[in-house]
Amino acid sequence: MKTAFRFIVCILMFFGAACASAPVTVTYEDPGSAQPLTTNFTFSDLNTIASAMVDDMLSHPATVEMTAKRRPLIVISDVMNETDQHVDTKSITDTIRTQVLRSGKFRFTDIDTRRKRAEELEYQHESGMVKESTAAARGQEIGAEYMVTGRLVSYVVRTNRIIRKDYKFTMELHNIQTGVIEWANEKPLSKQQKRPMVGL
Amino acid sequence: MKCLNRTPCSILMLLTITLLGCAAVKPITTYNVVLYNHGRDSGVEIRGDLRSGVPLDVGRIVNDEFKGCAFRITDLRNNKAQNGIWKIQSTIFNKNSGTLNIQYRFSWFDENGMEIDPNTSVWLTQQLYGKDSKTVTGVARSSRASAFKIFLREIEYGS
Repeated sequence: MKTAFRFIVCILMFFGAACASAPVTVTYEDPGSAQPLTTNFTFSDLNTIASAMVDDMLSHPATVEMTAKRRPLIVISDVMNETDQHVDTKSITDTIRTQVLRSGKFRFTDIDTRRKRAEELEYQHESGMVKESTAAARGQEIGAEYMVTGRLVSYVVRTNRIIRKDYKFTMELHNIQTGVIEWANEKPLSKQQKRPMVGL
Repeated sequence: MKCLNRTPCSILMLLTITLLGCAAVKPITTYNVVLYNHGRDSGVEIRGDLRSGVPLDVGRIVNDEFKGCAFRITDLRNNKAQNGIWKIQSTIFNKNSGTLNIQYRFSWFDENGMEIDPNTSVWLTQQLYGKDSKTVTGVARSSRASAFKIFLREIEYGS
């Protein structure tokens, strides 16, 4: 009886150890894939929104006209996050800005680095460390012609088995001098999670 | 007895025909568009050449039945904007009566065949109700684009 008990304990310990040492699988995945794993706002949703905004910004008649012969200068303002979760909206505008910039149709100036640029100019002129003839001239920045604003909102519907989240991203291009909204676009996105009838 | 012996042969022949039916069919080629039907699992690939600057020659492609696929292409258009940016629009038709989820991706290439900004080529989704058709559009990320590829595939979520 005692031997049988020891045998069972040994078997249990063996399986316990085997389970504990089971390797965790880590894989590289395609960052451009669109496999929904959660109803929360994810990287693939960011890609979907950025793609829709960039496509329209480069091909809409209003923006086509302003980029036909020149590269207007844009500044991106904050994008408001009005969803029920933390979303890095700066990351959305970073992706949009990078893709639009690389198209060669628009130029951008950056609000976030203004202070750093001013500090660098001050260093070049005031520190006495930089050869005067090579220092960047002050007062030569180009004023932005257009400003981009945006808003991300979400609507949530919950029932016993279903969670549905609808997102809407809106982006506008304002003419800074005239105040006219020259271009706007919105991209809705809906995600749904359904629980099975049986089970947890 | 003879009949019984023939049965496995008939099954084998039927199986072979079915497998051949599922296999990828030969590409359909026009002078500036090529369509590869890789079958249900791998989807469809459309390659277009924009160098001539003329409308895409798609008659044979939009008339194809897209064997093995739950969808078919009913229209494919190209338009170059005043700022030199190409736009491609494709209309997809759901052949079945049930809802179909598809994913698509556009890639753009310069005149040397080098892909332009491959990181911006991401999979996007479109849902089509039974017998419904919707358009998907792709815009080149550069005025250097002179060729494109569209990948389309069915997707079953949760599988």
